[in-house]
Amino acid sequence: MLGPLPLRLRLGLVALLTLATVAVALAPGRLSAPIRRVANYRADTRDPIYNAPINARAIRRAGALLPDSRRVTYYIHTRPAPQLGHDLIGAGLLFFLPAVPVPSPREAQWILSYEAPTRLPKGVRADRAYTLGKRIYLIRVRQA
Amino acid sequence: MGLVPGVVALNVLLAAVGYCVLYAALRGRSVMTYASYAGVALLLGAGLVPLVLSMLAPTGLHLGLPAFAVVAAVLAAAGLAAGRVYRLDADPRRAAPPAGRLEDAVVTVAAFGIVAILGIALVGAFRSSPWLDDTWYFWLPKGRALDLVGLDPRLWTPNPRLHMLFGNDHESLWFIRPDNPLWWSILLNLDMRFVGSIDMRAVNGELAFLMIGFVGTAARLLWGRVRLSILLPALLLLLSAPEFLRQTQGGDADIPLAIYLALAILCAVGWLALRSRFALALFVVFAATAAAIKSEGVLELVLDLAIVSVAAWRVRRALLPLWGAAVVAIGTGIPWYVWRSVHDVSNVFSLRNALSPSYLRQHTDLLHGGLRILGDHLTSIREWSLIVPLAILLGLLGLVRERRVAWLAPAAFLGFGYVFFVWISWADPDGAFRLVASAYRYVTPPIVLAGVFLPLLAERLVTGVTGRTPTDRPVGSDGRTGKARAS
Repeated sequence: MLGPLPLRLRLGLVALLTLATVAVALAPGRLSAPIRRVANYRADTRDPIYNAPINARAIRRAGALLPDSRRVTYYIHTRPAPQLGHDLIGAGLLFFLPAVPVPSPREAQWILSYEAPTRLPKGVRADRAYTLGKRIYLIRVRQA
Repeated sequence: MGLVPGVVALNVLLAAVGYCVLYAALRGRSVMTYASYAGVALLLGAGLVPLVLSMLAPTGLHLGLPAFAVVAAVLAAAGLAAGRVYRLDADPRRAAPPAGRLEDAVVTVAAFGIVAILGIALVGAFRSSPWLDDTWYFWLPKGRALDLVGLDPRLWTPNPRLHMLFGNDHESLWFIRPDNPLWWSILLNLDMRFVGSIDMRAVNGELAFLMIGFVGTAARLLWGRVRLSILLPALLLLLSAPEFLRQTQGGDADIPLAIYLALAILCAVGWLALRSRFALALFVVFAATAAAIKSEGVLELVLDLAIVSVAAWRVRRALLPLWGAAVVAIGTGIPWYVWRSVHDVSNVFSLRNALSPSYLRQHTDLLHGGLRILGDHLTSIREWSLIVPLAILLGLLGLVRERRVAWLAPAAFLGFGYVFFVWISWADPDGAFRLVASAYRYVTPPIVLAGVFLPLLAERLVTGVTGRTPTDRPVGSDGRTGKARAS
């Protein structure tokens, strides 16, 4: 299948292209931008790239603490910030399953309290609380 | 298993299933021939296994590793058994060597470029978490739900009671875009299961494998039918498009949809042009997978098949088997559509709006927005390199030369795809949001589809001008000539 190019010339061409690729990859500024983007020089972590500043470790820990049962319910208690609420719902769906989210604390067995104005919403009492981060708690609740 | 070993192991297993399915077509071939079908095998396995699992989802089955193992084993066994009874000729062609030193240098440079980009993209994929939040917000969580609780209507069925208010914004507690099929979610969850934990970089790793499989499959299917000095630069052009590379690290389902749709239509053309039953069989799998990736997959498949049918009207007797195969492919989605209907999970795109003159008249702002935004993305050389202008230019040159409308099929994929998405956005109550957030992805399938036809357009033009087919051997330095052997 090889064509009429002599082997030595072909190897030289490949070596030249390799050198050029490495040079472009190491070049400063805009020249290396395409390779830098595709190779992602500044590697990401295994966590989602959240839109809001979410404590990824706290979310994973909450996921590990929640019981593995589809009968378990949780409620997200946080401050009135739309993007934060959006991301916490997504993080819950990703890490807390099979537990399912509910729209009211009265229906919940667990509360993820995330930088909320109060530690717990009204109408529920803490049974056991786990501190996951600064003003971040996973709380097993009893209905008041 | 860890990130890299987990994703690699899953894809090796999927490719193994694909090879078993290919047994009827490759039985008795050499090891090198088998190796040349690695991309086809990967995309067959990656298409079929989650597709069958998605067909089983409405039964409530948990789609985790045990279900994967059983389905993969059954598919592999069925493929091997079928291979002993039936024979399909894959007709693997050999490519003739480049004619001269310059042509050979072009081939060498293009091959280097393809390998370098795929290598860098693969390494980069395992270093990057998807930049698009849809991936972790609903695609992967759906897969986890299918594994951990099964297809639970509580999570899929829109329920106005399940809303939460954060500040001035409502967020739903069920999955958004519940209408989308389940293939991508199932595949992503399998990646996480093989990795052993939720590692978002596995999503991009999987996309990189699909991209490698796509290039391998397109090259294999066109090998020997398009000369290397056209095939490899054309694939390099497609692969190096900045938006193609960017979206393969986004984590969304548009790249898989584009890949499977493009290969399905390429195989449809393979059936029409060569009457290859192998191409028709591949078409069924690729088309069924495309329809199982996103809701719009079925509509895009039907639209592109309609374009192909018009272009191939001269061979209309071959259209009936093709449309029959399309019905079989789309039919694999029946369990999902029945489940959706039973649980009132409707499509986010409303056909009633789309066909209502009064509704459309009241929302002409979306028409203008759609035309402009989608048009900008479709024609952006910065995003998609020269794929679109070349598809149009080569099509026009061929039309002028041969006076056959078939030349315009790739341009029609682009044009009708554009009109289709303008119309969908116009009829969508959330069209303004979706145009801003997603229009750049809507144009991906038609552009990749047009891109995969660039080698065929260029080859036909060159053959017409030079009179030399891609299998004509050049005159060797020793003066010997001859035709390439078709193996």
